[in-house]
Amino acid sequence: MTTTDQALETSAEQPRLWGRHAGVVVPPFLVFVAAIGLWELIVEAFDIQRFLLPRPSEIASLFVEDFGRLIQQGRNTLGVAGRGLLLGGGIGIGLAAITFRTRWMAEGIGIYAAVLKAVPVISLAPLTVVWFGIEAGSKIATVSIATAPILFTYTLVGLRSADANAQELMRSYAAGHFRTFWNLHVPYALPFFFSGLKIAVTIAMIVAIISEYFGGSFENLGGYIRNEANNVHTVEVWTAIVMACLLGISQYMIVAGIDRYVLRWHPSKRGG
Amino acid sequence: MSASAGPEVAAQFSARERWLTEERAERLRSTSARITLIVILVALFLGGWEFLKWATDAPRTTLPHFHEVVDYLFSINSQGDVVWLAIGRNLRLTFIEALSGLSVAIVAGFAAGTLMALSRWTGRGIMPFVIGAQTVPIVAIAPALVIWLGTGWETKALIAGFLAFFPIAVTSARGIGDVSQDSLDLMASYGASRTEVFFKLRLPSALPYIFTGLEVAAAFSVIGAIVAELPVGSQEGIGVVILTSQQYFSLQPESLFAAIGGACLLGGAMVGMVRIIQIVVLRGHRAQELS
Amino acid sequence: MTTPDTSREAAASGAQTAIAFQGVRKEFGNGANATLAIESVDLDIAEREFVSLIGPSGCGKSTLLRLAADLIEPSGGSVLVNSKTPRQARLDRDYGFIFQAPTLFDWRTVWKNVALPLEIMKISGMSREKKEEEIERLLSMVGLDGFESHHPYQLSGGMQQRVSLARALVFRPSILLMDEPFGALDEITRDRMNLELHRIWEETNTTILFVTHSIPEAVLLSGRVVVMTARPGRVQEIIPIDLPYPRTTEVEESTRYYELVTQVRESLGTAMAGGL
Repeated sequence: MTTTDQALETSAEQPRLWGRHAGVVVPPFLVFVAAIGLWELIVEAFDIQRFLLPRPSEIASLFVEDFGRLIQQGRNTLGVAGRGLLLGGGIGIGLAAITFRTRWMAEGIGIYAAVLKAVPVISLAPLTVVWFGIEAGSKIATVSIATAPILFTYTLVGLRSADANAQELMRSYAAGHFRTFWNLHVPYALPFFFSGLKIAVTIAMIVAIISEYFGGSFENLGGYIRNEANNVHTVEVWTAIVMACLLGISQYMIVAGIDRYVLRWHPSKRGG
Repeated sequence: MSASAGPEVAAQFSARERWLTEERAERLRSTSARITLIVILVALFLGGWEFLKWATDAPRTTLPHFHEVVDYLFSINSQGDVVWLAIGRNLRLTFIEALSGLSVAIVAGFAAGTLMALSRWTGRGIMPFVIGAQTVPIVAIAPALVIWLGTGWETKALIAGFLAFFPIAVTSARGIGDVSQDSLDLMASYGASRTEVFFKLRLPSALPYIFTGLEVAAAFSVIGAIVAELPVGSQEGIGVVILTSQQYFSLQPESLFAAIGGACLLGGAMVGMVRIIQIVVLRGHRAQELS
Repeated sequence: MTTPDTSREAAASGAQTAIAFQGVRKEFGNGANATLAIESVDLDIAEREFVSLIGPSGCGKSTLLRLAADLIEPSGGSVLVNSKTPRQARLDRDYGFIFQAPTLFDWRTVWKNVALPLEIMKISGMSREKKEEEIERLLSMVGLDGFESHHPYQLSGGMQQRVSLARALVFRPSILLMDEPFGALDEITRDRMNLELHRIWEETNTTILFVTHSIPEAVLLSGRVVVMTARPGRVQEIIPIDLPYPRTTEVEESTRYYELVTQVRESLGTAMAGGL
């Protein structure tokens, strides 16, 4: 009865489809326009020098001009971030899947994961250069060190969250380990996995750029930023920042979209 | 408890006492198990290190013996300092930068999160940018800020704070906004003011969320401080030590391992500090794994 | 312990009205999306009366309760609580609300959960010692002495709901609004809680408006049972329960009790058929 009343309230409050989208799109758009306007105005009013803080209009025009090169550099960075995430995710998820039934093992790896999350991963970058070379190898290694513990923790908690009653139900069907894992633990783990993945994609991108900054090719966003920053080409640096943000946000949105599609059966994704 | 408590009450009371003792014993058991586990894990780590060296036959310039790194820590460097003391001094500076940045981030992040949670339009307007701004590469911002504000520790604290801000803002917004309708109705039925709803309901129920963000923020503040020390012009800090060690790596590989070890300890200390505060503050809260 | 039935009758037909619904209508949403939840409800609840609301799912029982509590506002008609607007009654702390879920604050101990309303309401003329005494008295009344420093998660569902009952009583409201308070409990605990609630009602002189979907519960506890129709909710029938007080397990075994349960069930059947 209570639930029906609440359902009534929400269904009645739900605006039409375009109205709902307008509510999500309009406020950020207004904030964006206001922020850019303010930025332009501040640079103008205080006569801020170009190498300190360039105007948004300047950044935009150079961004359009350099778009071809920026997207190429972005692709290289994205490749490093993606491969690092794949490797780190594989290790993290694999370890979680192997150990989640054995408490002491999961706990032991969990402590290593906690330590790795506290460690400033970026300080490991010089060492990975020694071990895996100055090019992509070391960057992929750093990204995977940063992402593996995140995906391990989230996947582990997810796999363990499987409902006890459902586990007994599977037992009553005399389902084997593999079948139970696939049909029960994996669906339970998915929402947690996606929460972890949303965090991991952002981190992968940041860590990839910082480790590129430590040396190696200039044909990626981090290397480009290092080179242009050393020459105090601030506008160029900012175009790289914009590209990095765009890639980061679209990556996040793609993962969020997959999450919403794959988990459309999940209570948290409905009616929101 | 009144002094004239009947036998039934006394029985209940002793049941509770027994329950408490059991819980204490259980906690003790798990604590000692945990310590044993950590000792084993440290042993495994060192064993793995030495095994790797033996198995790959790695030269000193790729992977020195663990004891060589320890020996190096107690040696005297070219400035006539004991190495571990010199590293400690640099760590202290980075710690101050990270901690100041974290403190600023806590205040600013909490305020921003609260604003986003309580004002629907502000929340909708700003939230996408808070998520987006996380992807801003600080390495790109850091040099500009250093040119702008100088190479003092304040600049580095600001960069550390920038990085630590986002996890706190996001978790505060979520924790403070995520309160059950029943609880809100309950407070409304008492005629509670907005301030009372905030301090008696929203804030305490948000604390577990905020602490998960705080843990991430603590780790990020150390990363931010180290990255801020990288641009040319910095003289001190563990980031500088790491850069210098990298340059002299082939001559003195132990120094890079020592510097990285120091940075890792700093990160661990920062996060550990937050953990301890969390345990003290959240004594009453139910244990939560992940939110 | 036994109260003469005559005083009950007096209370039921008495001069003072605790809650008055008059032509109350409530719709959710507006325009084409609007849904009518309840329509033209007239209902008077006297002081010290125990009234149950029962009806099919979605009939607006909870809506009626929430209207009285000023958690929502009516679309038409009027609601008076102690001859005041619900808002004024809420600000005067005239009623305590009990939800289906205990709605305890996880971070507070049992003691501090019960103390919550006292912290928010600056009740004049009540000293600290007096408040502490009151909390202790209520906790022992709901059978929870010895659990003062426990946290909610350490208690069973029944115990949690008893804490929420103590919390609703601690500021001595003249009215209790209860929204399926025992709906989530098992049968045995529920039976015990029902008898305890009835005892507390007799001891404390409160008016209780009680939403339930259990016919036996409604009959056992109430002076009157209000049967509502399916959406939009209207009052189908008001059935007076002429069972002797105090309501005990013996009452539950009497023939009259079964007759009344049957009467409510049949009325409910008509209400549902009418709604379809």
